[in-house]
Amino acid sequence: MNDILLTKTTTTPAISTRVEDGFLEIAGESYPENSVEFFQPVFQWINDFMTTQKRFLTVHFRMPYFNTSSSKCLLDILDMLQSYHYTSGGAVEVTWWYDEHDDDMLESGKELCDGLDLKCIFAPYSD
Amino acid sequence: MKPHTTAHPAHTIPAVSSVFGSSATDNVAEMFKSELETLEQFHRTINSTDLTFEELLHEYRSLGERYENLVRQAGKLTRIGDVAQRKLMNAKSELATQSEIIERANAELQEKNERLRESLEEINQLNINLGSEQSKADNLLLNILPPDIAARLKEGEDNIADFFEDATVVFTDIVGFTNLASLVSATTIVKLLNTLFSRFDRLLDYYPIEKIKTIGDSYMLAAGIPTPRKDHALQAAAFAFAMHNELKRFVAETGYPISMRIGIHSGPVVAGIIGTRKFVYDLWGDTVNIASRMESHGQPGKIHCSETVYERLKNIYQFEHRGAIDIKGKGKMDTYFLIGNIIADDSILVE
Repeated sequence: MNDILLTKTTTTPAISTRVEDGFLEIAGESYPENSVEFFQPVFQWINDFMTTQKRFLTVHFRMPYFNTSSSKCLLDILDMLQSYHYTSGGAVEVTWWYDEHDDDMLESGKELCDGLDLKCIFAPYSD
Repeated sequence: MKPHTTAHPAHTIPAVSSVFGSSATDNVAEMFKSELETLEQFHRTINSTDLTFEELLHEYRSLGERYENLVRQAGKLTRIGDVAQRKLMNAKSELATQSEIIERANAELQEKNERLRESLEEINQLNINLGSEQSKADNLLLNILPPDIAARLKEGEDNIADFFEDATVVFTDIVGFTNLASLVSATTIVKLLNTLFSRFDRLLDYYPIEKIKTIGDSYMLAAGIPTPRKDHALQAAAFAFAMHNELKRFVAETGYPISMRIGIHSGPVVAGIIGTRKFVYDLWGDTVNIASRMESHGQPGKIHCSETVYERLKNIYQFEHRGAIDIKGKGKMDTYFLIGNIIADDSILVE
């Protein structure tokens, strides 16, 4: 399977993956014109990883702002990861990075991860 | 669950129009594709007539779980939306606050700029005033001293004494003032003297003559200083005639019965400034003394010259030999009266 490398734009986050390391990162603000179309490659990559790799997957989120339709896509991504957690016996870990001065960013991450059984880590960063 | 696959696009799901109506867009439908499929499954189940009770129960439980997940997602989306909205409003509020701060800072800056501009204008005006005062001071100084000497003084030279090999000194004295003083007031005498000497001062604009000073009713001048020139004797003689003519006009206008003695001598002099207060540009040397004696031993209405002056100008002016007179402190000296009437052409005047 191929990796994804998208650079950050004004309205979309950077997305990078490494199949070899079982790594996925989404970083930046997200309010694209069509969120489903933008995140489609991520859904496909996760789906392919779950079905072909069956290894430990680390997912990093670093998103200071995202609109409602991006929220839906992030929820769907986390649902996919939750499903992988069940089928793989816990071979997935999510790290939600938040600006140490941005309580809203932390709160959003906790909201997204609320109710999930997979491992979610909340890590602060400073700019 | 496999959301967002393109195998069966969301807009093909029959439930799309019943849920989203005519305003359904492809991306919204795609976003809720999984939920729409669940809804579609629900419609199939309730319209089915051949399911057993167990199968119905199973579908019911499955739909219930999906519904529970849907509500959970809706709750999350709502809360996340609220957080995002609050964040936006805070940012907007912060922006407004910053804008106000910037606006206030701008206003303060403008005020400061205005004050600075006013201060600058004041400074400029002060500079102009200073320049004006400086100019007045300079003019005053130039009224007292020759320009070259004034410049040297301003540059800090404090011992000005220059030797001139050859110059001509002229002394004049008004005759008849003593008698006049008994007829008119002291104030009138001073005004009269001021008028006459002011007329002599105006003549200076036309001749290369340096006024040295006035002492009472005596007017002292020199030619050939502070800038040496070869025709100093000639210029001094010409000025002496001009002074006599000016006096004649003055007497004719005022009717005051006064006349003037003039004495001229040429020779070396030292010119300079002595002291630091109320100083004048003055002359020293034997030439000055002899010129003074020429005046005091002269006659009213005549220009009394030494033999030295005669020798310098005999080819230019007419002279009347006065003869040898006893000059106090110098003994017998041959002297002449300068009559006038230039007899030489321009080639002799210019050396």
